[in-house]
Amino acid sequence: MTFKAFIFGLLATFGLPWLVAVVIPFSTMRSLDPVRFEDGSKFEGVFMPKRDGRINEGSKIYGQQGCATCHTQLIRPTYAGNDVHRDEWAGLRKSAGNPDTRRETLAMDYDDEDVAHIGMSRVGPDLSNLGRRLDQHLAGTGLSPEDWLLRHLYNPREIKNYRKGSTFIPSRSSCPSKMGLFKETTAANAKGVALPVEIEDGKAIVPGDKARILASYLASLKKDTLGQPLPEALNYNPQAPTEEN
Amino acid sequence: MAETTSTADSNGAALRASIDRSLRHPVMFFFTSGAAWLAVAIVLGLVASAKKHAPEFMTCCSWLDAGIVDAAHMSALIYGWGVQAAFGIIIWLMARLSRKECTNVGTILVAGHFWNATVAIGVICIMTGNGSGIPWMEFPSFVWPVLIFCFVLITIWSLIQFQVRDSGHVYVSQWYLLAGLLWFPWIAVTAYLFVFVFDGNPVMATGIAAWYKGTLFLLFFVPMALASAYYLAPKVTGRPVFSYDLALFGFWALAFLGPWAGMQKLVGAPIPQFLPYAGAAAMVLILIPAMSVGVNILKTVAGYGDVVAESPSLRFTASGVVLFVVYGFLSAALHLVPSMKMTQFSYSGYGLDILGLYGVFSLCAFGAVYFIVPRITRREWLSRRFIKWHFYLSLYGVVSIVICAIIGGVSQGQGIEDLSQPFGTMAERASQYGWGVTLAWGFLLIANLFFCLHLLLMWARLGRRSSHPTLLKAHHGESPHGPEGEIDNYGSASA
Amino acid sequence: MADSSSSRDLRPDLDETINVPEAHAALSSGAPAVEREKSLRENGMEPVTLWLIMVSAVIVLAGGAVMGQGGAFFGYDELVKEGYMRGKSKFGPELPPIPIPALAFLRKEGGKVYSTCNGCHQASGAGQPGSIPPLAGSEWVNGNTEKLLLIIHNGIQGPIEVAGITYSSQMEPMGANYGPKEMAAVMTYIRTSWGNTGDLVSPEMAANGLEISKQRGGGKASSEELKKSHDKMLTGDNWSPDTLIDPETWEPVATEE
Repeated sequence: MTFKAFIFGLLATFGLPWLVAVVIPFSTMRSLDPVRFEDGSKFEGVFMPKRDGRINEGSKIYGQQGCATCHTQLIRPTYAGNDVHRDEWAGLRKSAGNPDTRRETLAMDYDDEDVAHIGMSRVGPDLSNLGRRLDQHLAGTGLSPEDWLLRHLYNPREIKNYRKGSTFIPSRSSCPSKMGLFKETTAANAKGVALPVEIEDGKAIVPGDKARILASYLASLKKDTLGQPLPEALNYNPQAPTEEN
Repeated sequence: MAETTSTADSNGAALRASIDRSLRHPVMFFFTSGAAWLAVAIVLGLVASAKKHAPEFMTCCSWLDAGIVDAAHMSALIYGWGVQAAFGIIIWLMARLSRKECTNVGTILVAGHFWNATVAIGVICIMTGNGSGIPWMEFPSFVWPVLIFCFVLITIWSLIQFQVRDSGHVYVSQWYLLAGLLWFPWIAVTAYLFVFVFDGNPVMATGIAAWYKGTLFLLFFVPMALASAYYLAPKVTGRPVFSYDLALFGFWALAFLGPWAGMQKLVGAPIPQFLPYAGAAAMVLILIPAMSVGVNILKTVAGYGDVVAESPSLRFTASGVVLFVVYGFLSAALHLVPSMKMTQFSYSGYGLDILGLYGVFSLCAFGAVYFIVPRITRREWLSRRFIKWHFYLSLYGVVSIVICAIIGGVSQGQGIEDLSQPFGTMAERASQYGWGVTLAWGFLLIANLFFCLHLLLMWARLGRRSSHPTLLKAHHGESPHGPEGEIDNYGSASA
Repeated sequence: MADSSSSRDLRPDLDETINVPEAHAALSSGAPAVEREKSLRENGMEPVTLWLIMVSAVIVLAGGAVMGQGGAFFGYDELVKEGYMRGKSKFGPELPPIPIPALAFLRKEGGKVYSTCNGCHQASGAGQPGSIPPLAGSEWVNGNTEKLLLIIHNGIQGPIEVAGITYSSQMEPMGANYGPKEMAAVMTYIRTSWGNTGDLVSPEMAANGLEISKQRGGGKASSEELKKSHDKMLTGDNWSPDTLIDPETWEPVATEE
């Protein structure tokens, strides 16, 4: 093999996949065609799911804290896995108050984030619809999703956050206790945001800024069709009508 | 001196000795600092694995939190140990094979120190919560240009040495070295620009980061390991490489398949569907170059089982090559469509990664270290026992990690796919396998302690002054190297 | 490191050596490792064996099968597999709907059944003054359930006094075709709407009532007959209003405690 043949071979075998798999899809994905609702549907215009919360900063903190090592944020189509059918991962089951809101992850689900934290493994559950699950389970308990999340982030095994029937017990979760995101202050300064942890009198644990932003991001994770129905082009469910609201 | 198989003439030996002399500082620097980073990486890996099944372990420090310590562990393993061991191999091997001394030791050493400092800064940033959260690219974005620049400063001299070599045979190892030196900068610059600099779709950014992860292993670490293996197997046994055609086939198979690998981590994500499946297909097909290389190198040492058993370098190298074949089989099994459904997001991916980084690359790198260090320090290894413990514990450790992680991952994946199992039950069952992985990291830690200690003693010029290599089996009676003696006595034997 | 001059002290005087091999030996004498190295030889010329090629072919087929899943190459617009429709789950049962507290569930179902009663008894349960008795505040609705079931199942003939007013119109057996589920639902609905104070009726109670109605033989009931023979509560499995019910099967769900 001559040197020229060697170099040419390397350029060809690397250059082609580099173009095909990296450069071209990067540019096509940057400018995805928007998906519109069909004529004659109840809704008009472009389908653009929106989430409330501090998404961009929260996503950065999520990555920095290494959450993507143990949690995924991807509901795969059924040819790739059973995620869509696992309870409450892909959305809400049909029930008295809502239709079946489950759906697969779509390309616009990660808008506002720099990097999609699709995740490495499922040591913990998938988080695509964490916000939705929290809204459902905490309804009527007086605890907001952000507060629940702050308690969970502090130390899920210490704080009785996990609802079992009508009582709360400590969780058996392996989620690490991110005590570094919280700070200790005097009870006077806590002003009602203190976490219910055992601590000496006069002191309180309150969340720092990063904890708040992360909690806001996590509570915003709602990637289902509740309130944001799908246009026909993106509806992969053979049974459900597209627009139920 | 009795001559059995072909032995070098003293002219060639003089040139080799002078090449070794010129390189002794940078190569020793890279190996010792790499070994230190390996120790750090193993400790962090142990903590990371423990955190998954015992979350209350070491909650004192926020810089040891679960996700953060995982990121630090991988970064230290890859950039602290892996690339530095590769540097040592690259600059020594290319110099030897091109028969050129190294004349830019100063630049290389300075760049090497910068590399170490930058990796240290990067790891500290990760541990204080300022990383990027992207697998295998966890350093903050400002680190990458520095690392890429240092890489070029360190390795460009090897490219130049190849360019100015005396015309003659180009060895198989040189193909792999050259290719790796061209691939790494291309991959790294692409990943840096497309993930951190250019604005694009976030899913595609994750996809390109996954591509970087796959190609970094297959197109940098594997070629460096194979370069070392293709050098040591014929060198230590004195036999030619089994088949030139097979070597060519294996090389081009790797070159063709490697660039596609990586995106299989994104099966089911909203990106162009052919990409993750192309990645998965490449990971299935990687069995072909793995088998080719395995057959080639193992056939080269076939019939010389006693040499393989005796020589530390060859023992490690042969194990690394065997594990590369195992890697090929496991990769093929795990990336078929039904297995991917289960194992895409499970421990199995981690098991395969560690098999690759430790089982394939690190074992071959250890083989290279055990060969190169005596030559550049002019001392022999002090303790046969240290080497044996290093070998056996490393092998047991990596095989245990791989078995526990892959079986655990399959169990985890089955549990997730089976909707009648609640998530909590499956998670608790899978975490039992985590205990096995943590224990195996413990083995690796002890193995690494032996290695680091031994290497430090060699660095401190405390090695054995002898004309006999340190072999893993004691020789009773006649040795082919002649009577054992001090270096100073060597000249008195017939030249 | 061995100094080369010390090993040249084999000759006691200070002549420089011009013996080249010896000079080289002296230079590399500190590196016996290098000395003993074997040189790399030309590569062997074994061909690529047939069995390796055949095994590779098998692997290529496997890889091709994986590629096939990916759809068309260069299909940059296909972010999901073309023609994808969500499949049923292959592992484990399909998700059942979320269980609902019994009272809420029966009221919801009952409301749907009640739509056929709207025409006469009105959505407000007020009936039509003079001709159709109201359901709101009616002792026939709030009282014992057996007679209520018989009214719905068989109809009424003859005068009936409701809240002090006598009505003489007839009612058709609107619920002649109701099963236990519809009967329980609509009875619960009317017993708990518009300020009524009745309890819920479970399907088992309704089934028992329908059995009684069948044995009665049919034909419209009269208020005297109902007051005389059927003024009792239906027996059967009583649900508390908070019991969680599976809306597909209408069975109470065992809660995991």
